[in-house]
Amino acid sequence: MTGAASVCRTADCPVRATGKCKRGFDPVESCPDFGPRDDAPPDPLAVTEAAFEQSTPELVQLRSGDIMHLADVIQLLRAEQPRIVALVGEQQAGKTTLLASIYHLYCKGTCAGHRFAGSQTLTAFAKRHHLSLLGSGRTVPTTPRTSRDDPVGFLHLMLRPTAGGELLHLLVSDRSGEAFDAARTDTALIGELVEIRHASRVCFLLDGARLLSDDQRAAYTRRFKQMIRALHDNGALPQGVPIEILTTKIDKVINAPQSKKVLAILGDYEQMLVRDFSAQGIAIACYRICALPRRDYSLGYIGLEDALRRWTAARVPPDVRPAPVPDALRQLDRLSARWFLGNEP
Amino acid sequence: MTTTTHLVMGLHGSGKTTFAAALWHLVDMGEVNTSLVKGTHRGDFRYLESIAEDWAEGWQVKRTNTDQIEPVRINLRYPGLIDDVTLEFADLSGETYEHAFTRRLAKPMFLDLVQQMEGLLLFVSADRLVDGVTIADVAARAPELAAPESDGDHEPETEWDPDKTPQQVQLADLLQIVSYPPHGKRPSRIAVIVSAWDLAPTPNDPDTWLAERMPLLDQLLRSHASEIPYRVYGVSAQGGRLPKREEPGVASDRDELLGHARPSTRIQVVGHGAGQHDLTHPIRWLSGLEPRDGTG
Repeated sequence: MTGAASVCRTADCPVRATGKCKRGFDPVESCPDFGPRDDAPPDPLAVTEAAFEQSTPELVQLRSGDIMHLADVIQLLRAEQPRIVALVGEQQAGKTTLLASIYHLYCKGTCAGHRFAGSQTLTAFAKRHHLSLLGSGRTVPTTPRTSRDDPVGFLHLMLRPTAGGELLHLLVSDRSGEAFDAARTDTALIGELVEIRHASRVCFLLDGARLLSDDQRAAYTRRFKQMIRALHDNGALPQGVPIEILTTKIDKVINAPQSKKVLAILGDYEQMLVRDFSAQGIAIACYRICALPRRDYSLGYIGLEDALRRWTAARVPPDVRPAPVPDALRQLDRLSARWFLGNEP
Repeated sequence: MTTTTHLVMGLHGSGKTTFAAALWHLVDMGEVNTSLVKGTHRGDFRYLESIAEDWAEGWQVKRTNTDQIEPVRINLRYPGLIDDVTLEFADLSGETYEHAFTRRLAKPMFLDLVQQMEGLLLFVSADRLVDGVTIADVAARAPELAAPESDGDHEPETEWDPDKTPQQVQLADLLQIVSYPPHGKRPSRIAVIVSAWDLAPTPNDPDTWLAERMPLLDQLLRSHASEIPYRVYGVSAQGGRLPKREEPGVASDRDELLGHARPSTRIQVVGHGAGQHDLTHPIRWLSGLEPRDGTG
């Protein structure tokens, strides 16, 4: 999570303080000057830490509490059966905000019929949420951007049903939107999106705010659809895994002057996606969420609890019945198909 | 004689040292009925004596050295039994825990103590402003205070400062560190001590206080209650507001508290049938010494 907090090679660029690029690049990471300056003074925090470690060399390193990497996830996969939710979306679509808000909900109490039972990534959650706190020095909450330099990470929650029952591990991926853009336009890169391969659910985040702009809407909706198509056509979407489209920032759409028109456009677009991909054998469900109600705080969070309920719902046991044999040669197989599987031989 | 070792955990200012000082006065004086009484007076009590002195004189109890791990070893006895139970716990500075969270580093001595742990005394203070309040929380309750969204475009995105992480998140993380491998060991029981209970809003009970003020920590404890039983006690070990010894003029309850004929009655304990002044009640439960019929 370097994002806007990183320094820029342009001496008087305000990016560190304001998150805005002097040269107007958005996202700021796309600016060619973005990155650490060669002559930048050392980070004072890092210096303090180094001095501390030097003074007490016998200190033991504790687990970081930061994001889990793929190797950690694979280790967890061997021991548990985590639910892995892959979030897919362009930059600033709201992936990290969604993660921060899920953490925030559990900081306030039980949610979606589950209570918090632990997390290996509490530090990572806290990092993603700190700019929403009253003590952050801000008047409008925000979420730090995920840097394109960061590899895919997973945030972990251990949950227990409030009514009692088995612990459940939920892992949600966090990756810079640029990686998805790159994979969409150069499908050779799709193989690098490893979180999708391991996912038990894939959520495509549609940025509701971008639908408000007549200038951006056509291109953005085309790219969005193309992203799903790119993953499907290149075999990246695991078979049978639920696919969701989450329209984010719905508070902005609801509160916009052209709200009625845009909601109608959104409805049509959702229907089109469901219809078109259904024809290709992909079942898609559409939902709308608001993970950080900045436009109208009274709206509160929308759709998050429902999303968590879906993500944590009891698994449907795998169908282990034998597949029917079409045009079976043996009469016995035909009868089996008829009697046990309900298929006409 | 059996020895029971508990780990005492809490952030800076959570009341760990005051608890130890009041406990020492309580069992040493025997002024009020307690679940456990003092056993044989044998050992090194220099640290306990120094902090109990502050407590008895009505000053805020302070740790003398934040870098040191101060051993607290008290021989206690279940009334009616001959054998002593030696209760050991280390008074670790809150900084030790804060450092573990913010720097992700710990001294081997601390980790050794974790490995010796049987029960865990987890301290939180009722004398804290609610942390973890978000900008959206405030704006939802007072829309007239909400800044327009566009204002955010010009605001700085400060670096994450781990020290400013809500306390319940820090404690939940630390609780996981001390309870799970590779560095932790599962405690047999957890007694949560909500200190400065005299400052908690009333009417209230400690369980409700924890659920309302530290919901993440509360959920974590509840989720594992079948494997790690826990209890929440409200404790006011000093009985009210006390000044620092070097600032005697600050407004406080010192005069009133010093007026108690039996200083142990300054102590207030709430929860799970504990006697009004019985600081040993949570320790008895933590040590598995409660009566077999389950009373008290």
